[in-house]
Amino acid sequence: MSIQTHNEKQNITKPAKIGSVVLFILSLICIVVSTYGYMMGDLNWESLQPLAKKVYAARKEARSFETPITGTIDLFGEGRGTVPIALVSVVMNNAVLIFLVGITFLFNAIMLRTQSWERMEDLFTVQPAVFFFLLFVYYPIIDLLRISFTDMRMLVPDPQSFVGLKNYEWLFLKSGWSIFSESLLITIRYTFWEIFITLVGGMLLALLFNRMTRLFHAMRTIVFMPKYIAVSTSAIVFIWILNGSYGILNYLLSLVGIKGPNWLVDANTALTGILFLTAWRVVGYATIIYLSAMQGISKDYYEAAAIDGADAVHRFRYITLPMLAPTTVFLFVTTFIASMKVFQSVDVMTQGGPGTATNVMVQWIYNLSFRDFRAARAAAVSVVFFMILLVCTAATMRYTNRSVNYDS
Amino acid sequence: MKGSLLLKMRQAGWFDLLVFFLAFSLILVALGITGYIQYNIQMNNMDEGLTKYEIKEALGFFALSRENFLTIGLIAVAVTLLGFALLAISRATERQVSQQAKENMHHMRVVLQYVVAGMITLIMLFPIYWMVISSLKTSTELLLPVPTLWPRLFQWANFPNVLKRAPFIRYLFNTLVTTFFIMVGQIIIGVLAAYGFSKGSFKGKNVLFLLVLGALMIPIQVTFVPIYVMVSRLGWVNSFPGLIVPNLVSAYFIFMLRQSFMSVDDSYLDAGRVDGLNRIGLIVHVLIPMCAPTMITISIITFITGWNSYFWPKMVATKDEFRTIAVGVTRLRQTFAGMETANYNEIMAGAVMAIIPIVILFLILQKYIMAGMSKASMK
Repeated sequence: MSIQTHNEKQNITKPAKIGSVVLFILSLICIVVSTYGYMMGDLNWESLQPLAKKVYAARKEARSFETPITGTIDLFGEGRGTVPIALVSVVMNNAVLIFLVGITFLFNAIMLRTQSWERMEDLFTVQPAVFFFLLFVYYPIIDLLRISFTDMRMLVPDPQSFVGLKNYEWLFLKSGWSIFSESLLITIRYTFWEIFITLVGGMLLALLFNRMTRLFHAMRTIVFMPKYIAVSTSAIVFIWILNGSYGILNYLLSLVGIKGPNWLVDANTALTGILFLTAWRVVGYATIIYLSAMQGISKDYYEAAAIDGADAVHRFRYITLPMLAPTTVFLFVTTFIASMKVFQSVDVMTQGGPGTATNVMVQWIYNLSFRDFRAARAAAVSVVFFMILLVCTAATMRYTNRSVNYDS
Repeated sequence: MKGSLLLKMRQAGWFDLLVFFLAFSLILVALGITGYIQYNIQMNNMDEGLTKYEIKEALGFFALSRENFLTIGLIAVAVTLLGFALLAISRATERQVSQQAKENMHHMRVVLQYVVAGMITLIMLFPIYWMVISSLKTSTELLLPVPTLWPRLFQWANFPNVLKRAPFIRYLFNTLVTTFFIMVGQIIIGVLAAYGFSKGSFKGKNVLFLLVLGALMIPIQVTFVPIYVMVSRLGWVNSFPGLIVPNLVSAYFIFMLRQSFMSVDDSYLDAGRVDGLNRIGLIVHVLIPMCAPTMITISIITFITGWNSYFWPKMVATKDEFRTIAVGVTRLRQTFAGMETANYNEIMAGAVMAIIPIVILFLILQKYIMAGMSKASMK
């Protein structure tokens, strides 16, 4: 291995060396320019504020007259050359993009000197994806932190000023706390029921549909289909089914003498109403997953058990259930992660109402940012919610990894 | 005699299950009785002249739902006892039952399985059936106290009415364009990345792959505020790039495809190299054909997910010009402004139009989707 790398180092060609120097210089330019822009724009650096104000004024003018941004600005102090404001504005807006381009250049400049062109080509295949993740997944996490320390409001143009821990103070010590704790509790309640429906319902249906005929295959397909129908559309259908006066569900309940509630309008039953849709959507998926795992259990176990005189319940309890433990863990973890983020069905069916009865976490963050326009508060809540999600996911994965029998 | 019967019963797995249910239903009964006691105590201590609502507020949860608990508990006890009786009968007569009767029992069970499975399938199908039927009813029939299972009068006009009310064709067009470009982007970038992470060799491969895996853990539901700010600064709110670009790469896609590419033996690639294929050639002529089922499955799932996506399009497209179908359907309700109950037939017509493409696609390609789903759980 060491010989190989030694050879590679000698194989670095002259174009590669020149290329790496050029990339290095380009990356330095990108990083310096973007850092300047970031300090001026997002960080609202104090000594750069006079300059930034000019840019904001030019932007405002351009927006109100719907013309392109014009004019120039003395970026490096009086009389040392001017720069078009339009360019400065673009750099301020896209500082992160430029910074990431610079980082990519720097990375490639280093890589060019340490590995052959053959390997560089392999590296280029993954770079678009990595660049995308840095820009749309990892940078937002950092930016979320920054926004949570500012007073940003949605739809209000820059600049924002930093307010320290004020948003977190609001969340933990002031009016935010009661809503937060209530919302978290609702989310956990929803999650509990979705996991319950997925695991128990899926298991029962898998036992029921475990027959490999054509008819059963067709029935399985139908049971599975709801998963792929848009949640928003099925939510619309369920609003009609759950309608208090004209809904078919309440009509069926009235046939057996129960007066059905006004499901989605009554604060006590709204979450149950949403769970009807959830059950319809998720149970087929869990059934398919469980069934395919059941197909993988060797018939030998059941034959051996039958010789020992075990009946159906015993076979299920001592063979099927333990052998399906990894599948159960898989379903548990994925359902947990998905249901903590529930939004679509709630947003269409109740929008978090009535009152705050179905105000799940994501719905609350969404309402904070697009109804109250409190982007900074929404960011603070997002940060805390993200921490909770991470800790819970890591904990479940760690715990279940230890206690599950994987040797099947 | 009696003792031996009990012993026989206890050997059956059903016995444990029944004991468990019995304990559970007895707990329910106990809770109901507690509720009655609590109710009486609280009613005795209650001030005179309270309204019904105030009484309801003052009573506890168990006191309020005492009847429900007791009824359900007693029914459960009765069912469990019935189960015990059946078990006892079956065990006591075990010896006398002929082979013929046993076979009959087995047939009965199979028939029962078909019947119950069929019923559950019908229940699962019901919301879709109800949507289609409601979309064809007249407003008067829609609001009948006893819902009709088959429209008395087919009102096909609901569909053109919806088209007049909301630009559904435009929604469909937007969805198609968005989904198409998301799918193309995810396939091109995803295939390249999957190749690099599975068959390529370069420094920092593991670190970069960790970045991809980490992206699976960071949902857009948490990071949408900064992404929205970024997109709006680029001027992409209400535009196709705004809808498409943030969804252009999927960590799930890369991960699944990488697993699939890894299972292809390196000797195939070497053979390809001998034939003078470069990287793109290897991907197109060797890896993709060998992993075709996975490719097809992931592409279908990408397409359907893109078609159904709601969270991001709702935020970024606020004008009808760029709204996608999943959001557009929910907009339809708001256009009726309070009169939606009477016009639900038209809303349902919109919903039917929104799901038809996906249902057809699902039924045609269900083989691939179901196979892919089972594979996903194994990873």
